[in-house]
Amino acid sequence: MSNHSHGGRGLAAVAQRGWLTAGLLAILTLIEYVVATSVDRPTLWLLPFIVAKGALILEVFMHSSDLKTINGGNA
Amino acid sequence: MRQLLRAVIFGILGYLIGAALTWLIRGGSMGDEVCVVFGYILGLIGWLFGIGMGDTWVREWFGLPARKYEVTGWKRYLGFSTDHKVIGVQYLATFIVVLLLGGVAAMIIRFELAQAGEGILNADRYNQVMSMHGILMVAVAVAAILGSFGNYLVPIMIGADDMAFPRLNAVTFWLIPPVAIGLLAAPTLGSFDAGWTAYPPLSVVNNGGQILFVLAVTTFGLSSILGGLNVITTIVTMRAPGMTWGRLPIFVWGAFSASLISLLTTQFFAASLILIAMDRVAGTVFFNGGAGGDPLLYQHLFWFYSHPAVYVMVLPGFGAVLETITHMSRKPLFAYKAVVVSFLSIAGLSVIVWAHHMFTSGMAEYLHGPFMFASEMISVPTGMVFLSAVATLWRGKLWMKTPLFFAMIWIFQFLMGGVTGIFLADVVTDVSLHDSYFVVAHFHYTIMGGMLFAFLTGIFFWFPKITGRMINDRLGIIFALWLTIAFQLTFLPQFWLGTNGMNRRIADYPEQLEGANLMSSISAFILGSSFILFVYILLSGAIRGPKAGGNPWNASTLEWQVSSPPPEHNFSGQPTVVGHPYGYGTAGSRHAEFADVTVAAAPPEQPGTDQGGDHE
Amino acid sequence: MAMTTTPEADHSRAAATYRPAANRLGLWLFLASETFLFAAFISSRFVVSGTDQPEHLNQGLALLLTLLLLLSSISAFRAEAAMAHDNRKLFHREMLTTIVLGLLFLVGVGVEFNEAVADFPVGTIYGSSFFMLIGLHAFHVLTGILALGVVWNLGRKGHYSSQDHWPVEGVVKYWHFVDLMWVAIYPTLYLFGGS
Repeated sequence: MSNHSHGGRGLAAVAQRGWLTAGLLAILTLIEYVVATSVDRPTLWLLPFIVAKGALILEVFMHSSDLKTINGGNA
Repeated sequence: MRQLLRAVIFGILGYLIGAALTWLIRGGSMGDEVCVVFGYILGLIGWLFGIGMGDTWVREWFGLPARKYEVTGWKRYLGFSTDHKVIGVQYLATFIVVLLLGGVAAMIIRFELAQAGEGILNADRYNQVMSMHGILMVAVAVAAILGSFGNYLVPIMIGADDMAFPRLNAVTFWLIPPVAIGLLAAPTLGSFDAGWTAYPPLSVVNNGGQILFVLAVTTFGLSSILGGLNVITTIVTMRAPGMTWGRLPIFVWGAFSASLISLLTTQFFAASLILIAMDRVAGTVFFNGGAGGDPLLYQHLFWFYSHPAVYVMVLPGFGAVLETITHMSRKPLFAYKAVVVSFLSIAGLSVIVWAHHMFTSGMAEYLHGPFMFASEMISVPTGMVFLSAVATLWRGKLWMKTPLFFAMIWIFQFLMGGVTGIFLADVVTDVSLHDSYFVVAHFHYTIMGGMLFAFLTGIFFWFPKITGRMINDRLGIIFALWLTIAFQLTFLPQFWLGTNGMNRRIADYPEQLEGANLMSSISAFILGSSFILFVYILLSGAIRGPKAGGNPWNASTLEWQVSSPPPEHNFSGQPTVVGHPYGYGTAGSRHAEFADVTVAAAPPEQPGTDQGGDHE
Repeated sequence: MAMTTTPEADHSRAAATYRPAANRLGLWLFLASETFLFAAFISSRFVVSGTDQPEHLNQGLALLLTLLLLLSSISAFRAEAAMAHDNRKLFHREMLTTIVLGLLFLVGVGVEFNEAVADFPVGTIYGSSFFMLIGLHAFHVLTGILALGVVWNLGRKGHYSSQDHWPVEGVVKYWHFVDLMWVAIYPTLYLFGGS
């Protein structure tokens, strides 16, 4: 499982990818907050933000593509 | 044994420390529910640590080498063993005991109901006994098949040497004794009387025993979640070479789909009970209508688990029955792939039907139609299972031994449960039948008929594998007939009682219902006494039954290709699966080959069929 | 989760090949199950009180808490990457940073609870959901910190390498999961009610 989670890239590149994602998440959160405080009934407006943030975390931070490699051991 | 003693001491110490600390911090009395909650949590941790989790697992978290217990013989069954076969037997023994305890409660209930008026129990006591009977039996139904046969057989059937997480498996089992202790200790705090469903507002305001119910059942939920996780991981990652998804024995599919449900939906039960605990202990108002809460919230959360739980109970049962039928009628399982699809669609549909338990609860009207439709949809995949069972028997070479007797009776029992269920899934009839004995009778036909009879099928089918000895088959058949006839005489009158106005969960009833109640009670005692014969059959078979040999049923699946009981780590050589498990009746087909010798020659396989489900 | 290869599994013929897959799948299943627990509580909030929220919510503090979790995510992410590249010094530093940020988060929750008790106590319907959800999340943060501490300590003693660091991967994944749940809980309690 060496470097499995990071696609074999160098440490600096991985770290940069992390910062980029975090920046994106921060920006999304700020926009989310601004939308929530300026719209009257914001629930539906906020759902895309939740989905986008969740997808980013799952994909980049949690390596959800791991799941594809669990293909049933020996079969 | 030493570990068991240590676990008890640590558990009691944990309880006392937790309760005392809470009492010191917050004042009040040591018997307050907050103290009980923290005492129970610390006691549970102490128990797990003492029984062996500390030695075999927690030590590693601090960089210490894990200790390993060198225990052999029968003492393995009393300690923290990571062998899946030991854990399976531990589950089996535990839940047979719990089943008998729940049965005693049932006898007391029927004794009270034999005549109108107040008998041996007053109304409060009756509610407590009824609640105890309910939760004990639900626990048996949820965990008995999946815990015992799921643990014992799934790894062998897929050609693995153990579960994916052996230590987690041991922890999963050792979470069960605290559940039993918690439930049985409830009378010290005034018992619980809100039924096994524990609906608020009653469950928020009744005696302190309810908090022990909440804690114990949440622990039980944790155990089923972890067990489900382990079974799924094992099936996905540990199949032997060649054991493709399309070659899995049907019991493995039953365990897989049931585990899927129990892994995910049990959290809703946990959530509903945690909210009850919070309302009781922390002062939240989730179920307090006066402060803006909503008691119906509980029913939604609760049934979101507890209806799927019915399928956690019966799906492994379906698997065990179909497994028995195909082996003992010497025919390939009819419509294997369709049955697999049915299992998975039952698991999927089960989470969108819960509100059919709530047609009379006052929930929004527009929910009635969709939930009625979804509930009745489930009869389609369930019907597929019946079709497979009956069509496999059809023109088979039936080997009328005890397990096949039970499997065939199961078909009838579960059919009765299914057909009467249609009236309860239908809003129009359910409005009248709800909360009557019709529901009680239906429920016992599905769960006792569907799960318990499947459990008995499994016990008698795999008894030779687990103990290495055969039971007295004539006694087994007498037991099957005795139980079945008494069962009909007990529960058929209850359908009539229900349609004639007898409510469930009450200690008394109008005098004109006395005749049918008396008949039901007498039959219930006959039913209950049959379990004396059951225990005798098992004990005498295990102690001095004739030796069974490796494969007394001459069956094809992997568990029958090893000695009885199987050796440690199950296989001496790596099994390789080369064909479908149920290739009876076709020359030259094999299920598995072993590294050294080729076994499993008996069941031939039809070339070219049933391979479509295979994939990498 | 089996954090390390069990001694019992050492005999397994295929131990080396299936173990990482099993651990990963086991953790994902556990997280899926946990998601249902959070979903139950979040949906309870909507059932009992819709999207109503009181006026005196400390929005600044909530944003600060979100920022703390976000920063701890990036340090946890870097800790895992560091171990995957055998950079122990960086691993050590980033793990500590994550733990400290997690503790700061808990302090923030404490401050938040202290204010909330005055504005919307447990006995109000919003207060019930608020304390339940934040409390459940904080409990997961706490267990995450404990697990991070265990893994950090073992890493310090030289237990892991780029070839074999499943516990690091596992605990970091759990930590991100806790963050993921916050992504849903934060708008549920602070934003859906609007201005």
